[in-house]
Amino acid sequence: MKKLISLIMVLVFCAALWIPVYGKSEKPVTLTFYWWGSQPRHDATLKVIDLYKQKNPNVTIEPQYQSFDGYYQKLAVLAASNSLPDIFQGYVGSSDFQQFLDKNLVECLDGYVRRKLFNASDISTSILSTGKINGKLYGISMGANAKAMIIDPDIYQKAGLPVPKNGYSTWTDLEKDLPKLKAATGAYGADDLLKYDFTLPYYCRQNGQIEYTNKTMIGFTQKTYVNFYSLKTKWIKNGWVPPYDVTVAAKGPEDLQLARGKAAISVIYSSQYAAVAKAAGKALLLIPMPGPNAAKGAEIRAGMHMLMASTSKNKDEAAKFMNFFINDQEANKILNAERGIPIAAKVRAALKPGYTSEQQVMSDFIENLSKKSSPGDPAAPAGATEIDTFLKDMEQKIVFDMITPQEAFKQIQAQANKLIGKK
Amino acid sequence: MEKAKEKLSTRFSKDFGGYIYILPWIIGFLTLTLIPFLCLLYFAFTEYDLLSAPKFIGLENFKNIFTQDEKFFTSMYVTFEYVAVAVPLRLLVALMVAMLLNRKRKMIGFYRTVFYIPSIIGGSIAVAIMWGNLFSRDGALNSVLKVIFGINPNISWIGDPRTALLSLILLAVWQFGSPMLIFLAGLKNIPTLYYEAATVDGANSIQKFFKITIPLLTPIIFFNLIMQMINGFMVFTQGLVITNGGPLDRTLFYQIYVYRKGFEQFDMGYAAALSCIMFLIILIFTAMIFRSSSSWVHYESKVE
Repeated sequence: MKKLISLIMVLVFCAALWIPVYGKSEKPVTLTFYWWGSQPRHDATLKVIDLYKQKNPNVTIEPQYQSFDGYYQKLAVLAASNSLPDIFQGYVGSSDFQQFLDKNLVECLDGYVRRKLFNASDISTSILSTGKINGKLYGISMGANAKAMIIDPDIYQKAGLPVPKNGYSTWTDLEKDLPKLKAATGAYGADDLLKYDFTLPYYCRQNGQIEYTNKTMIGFTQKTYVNFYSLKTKWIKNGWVPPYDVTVAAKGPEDLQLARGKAAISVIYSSQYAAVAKAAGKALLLIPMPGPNAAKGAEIRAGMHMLMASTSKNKDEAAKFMNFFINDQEANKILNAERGIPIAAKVRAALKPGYTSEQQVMSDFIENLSKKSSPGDPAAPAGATEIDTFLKDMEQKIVFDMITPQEAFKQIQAQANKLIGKK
Repeated sequence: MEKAKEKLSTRFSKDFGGYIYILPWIIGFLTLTLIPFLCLLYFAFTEYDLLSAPKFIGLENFKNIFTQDEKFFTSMYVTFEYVAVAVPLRLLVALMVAMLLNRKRKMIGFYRTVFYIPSIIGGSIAVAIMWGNLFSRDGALNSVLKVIFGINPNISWIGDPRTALLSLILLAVWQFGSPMLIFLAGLKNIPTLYYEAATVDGANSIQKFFKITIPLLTPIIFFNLIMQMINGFMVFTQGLVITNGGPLDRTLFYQIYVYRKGFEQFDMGYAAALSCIMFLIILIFTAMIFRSSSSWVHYESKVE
């Protein structure tokens, strides 16, 4: 049946070619665009695709979309079968995306910027640099994002504590508030704030270290690691944060203890603010991550990058669509900053008056933080995914009391040395 | 000579019809089973990351698996533990329920349907998520314990390394439907004559069960045992959705490990090698059960 339909399609297509074309004589182009996200993102992105079709009748964009679970896996399978989408979402700099870059599957965009197919003049260099590797531009940030603390001011009031509007100056200051916040909620003081895959990289940065380095694989010292996990285990033991199994079971914003009124503090990416506020059913406050050296630790990152496949057959058209997606005001009004605060200054200015209160919070946060942040870490080296898995294993062993942080660090170091030996 | 030729051609045309009938299955078998399997065999000896062409490396993958890979042994251990506990338990429950449903009662058809439902929906994500909720820290199980027995265990059954695997085993046992149906069919095939004769001879129900039911059911038990064992070794969904292999790798089933290696760490060659090992293990166990069958499986009409 499918074959029959496609046969008919081909025949119709051939017939159409015979009919003299009046007006635009551009040849029809089909691009594929693959992204991950949730339903609002799918709806908005599909609308933008329709809009593009209206403006460029010769270009058809075929959408493919799903949730993040399994996204990279499918992308890898698509790449293996040589059918990588022309345009797709990814994340330059993350360890699980790195191999797509290593295998030269991602097109370098510098040429398209030079030829003005993609207009980058409206984007700040620091945001552009999030998508660069060795000075070459591969990914266009689809929205600015940053790690943040999110707090519930009402609980602070109930506990009789001042609201830390500008963030805590040290982790110890935060720790002092936890028992009082716990008393106020009757459950926990905070959600798990010290996660190996979220807070540990920040903690390294604020101590002047980076999580992964090319030479030694791990860039943090034993002291950093042990301090981090001493805090974590102490907080769990005192019941200031939920036990490990509760944290792990949380799948979405509505599962955060913060959203249920059972905790006063949590950590999120700023772009998740609207979802968390919605789950909590009230306005919350975004504050910077705790100090010291918060500005050293903080980084404005891309929520995700828009990338072009080096295997694409219509690269110029793909670049034009990417330009439209990032720089077109109408398109971004539909997209509604759902992937993060728009990166093109003109678009941002045009959108600002129409912001909802949630978007305003996110936008203000990013704007304030952009003055107090540092450039991102260099891309994770090959093998970082294995260390990542190992860090997770060690975290579990530590919280289940099977190993001390000191021993865990030794094992991580041994694993890192093994990986270096393999190179 | 002439005769033989004729015989051959009639034989062929006779067979040909048969092959036509099973053609859909043959196509499916070739494209979905045999060819992928041969590819797997090849990939097991390569380094293959999906994105570049596979590179032949001989036995390197197997060497690494047996000498350097702790997780291989962990996942093997977890999977064996699961199979060893879940499969006999499930068969036992299936047989018990089948015995219950083999009586002549009102509404028995309804009960059969109801007891089969968990197995229809069993493999689905929805059930896995439900199970996760039932056994979580503030799940239904703890609520029941609190209300009825007044104890508050305050643990998450799926989140605690000591009980996580047990929770998944319970889920497997609960999904006893398909072996139960097969047992039921087997029970119905046992002539009532034997039971009547035994009653006349004064046998009680326990004697009847062990002397009549079990021996006559051994072919069915044999079949169920093999199918369920193979199924058990291939357990995947529950462990991925409910516990994602955790906590502390206590539910890191073999297939989850294979999936992680192949699709998360993009080491397809390694994953293929792992799969080959599991294939061999299942093969050996199945062969062992078949070998042993002559000593415990009774067929009514034995063909010597």
